[in-house]
Amino acid sequence: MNTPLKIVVTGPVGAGKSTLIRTLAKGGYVDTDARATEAIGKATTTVAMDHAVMDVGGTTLHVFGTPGQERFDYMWEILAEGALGTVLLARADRPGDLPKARQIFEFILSQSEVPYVIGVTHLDAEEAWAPEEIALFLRADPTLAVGFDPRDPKDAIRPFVRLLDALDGKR
Amino acid sequence: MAIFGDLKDIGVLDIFPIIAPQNGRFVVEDGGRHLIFYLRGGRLVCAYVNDTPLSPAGVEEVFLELARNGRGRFRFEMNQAPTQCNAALNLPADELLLRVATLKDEIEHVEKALPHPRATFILVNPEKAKADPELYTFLQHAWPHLAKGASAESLSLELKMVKDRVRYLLYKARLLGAIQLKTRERRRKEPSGLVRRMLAFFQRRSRQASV
Repeated sequence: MNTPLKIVVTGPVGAGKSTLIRTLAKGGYVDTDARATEAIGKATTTVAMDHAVMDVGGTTLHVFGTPGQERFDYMWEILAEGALGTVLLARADRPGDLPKARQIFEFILSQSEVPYVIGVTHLDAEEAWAPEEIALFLRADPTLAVGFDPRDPKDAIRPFVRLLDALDGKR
Repeated sequence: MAIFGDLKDIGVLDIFPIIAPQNGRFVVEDGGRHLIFYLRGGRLVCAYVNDTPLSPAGVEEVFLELARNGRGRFRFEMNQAPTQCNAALNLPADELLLRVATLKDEIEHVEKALPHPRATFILVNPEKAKADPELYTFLQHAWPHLAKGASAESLSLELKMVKDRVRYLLYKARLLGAIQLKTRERRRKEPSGLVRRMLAFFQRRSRQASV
């Protein structure tokens, strides 16, 4: 039997983590959203973690989404243990969230050797940063920044394909 | 009559100017900690945390912490003088107040840009911080830790400083190029067969989704 694999999706509140995992899961999804009690820019927020399971040719792939709130940072370390990679999400239309995205990104880079890609969401907004510009702000490799729509099943796969490409040695 | 309350309602920077010119002791019950500051004629004579005397640097750290995250009951007891002062401070209270208020403002101004408390940094060129004496002194103390790689969280424990202040100093050191993020090299390599199988799976799903 193949060892299960996992990929961790992380990023600030409202970056699209739950949406991405719901899109990927096609129903096999654990929803842990709760109604937001403070102004965070959306009606609900993830209070535990999102989880989707996929069968990849006989190997089970678990995709975990971390809660965006800072007090759950410790969960990232637990989830990242032995992970295949991390998808860090950042919103292109909310520059105010980018410092938080950078905090998470730097935390990940210094705590773990897990490979990463940067998934940039909300590129369809009237004003939006380009994925490469976001990578520049995060001091990250711009070739690892991918713009995508987490609501679109075809598009939602793009950061995962880029992550696997990177693992396969492609820049 | 007595001055009392909770620091969550009245900040330490609001209450201290009122009591500082008086003689007495300012007591804060902060969680498990019992803080006492003895004041006389506008000067902080000595201070204790759970009966342990504080150094001048320690007083500043405790005040900054109270100013940033202040909570806990406080009261001012007039004309209470220390029976003995194990470590006399004799610090002008207004200078301490100004210093802490400035530091608090500086930290809050760049709060969002501060590094994650557990992001690890490594020393690259401490000489670049020489123009900022306070920062340089901090780096000298942090040197042995930063030479191996250290975070704001670990440094705050090692150097007994407020975590957010260490984050602020690391932020400044990084801006000057004195330190940089310490990243970890990936040792594990995924079997290329597995990676390619997964890639094929995602590409197949992508094609199915577009049909």
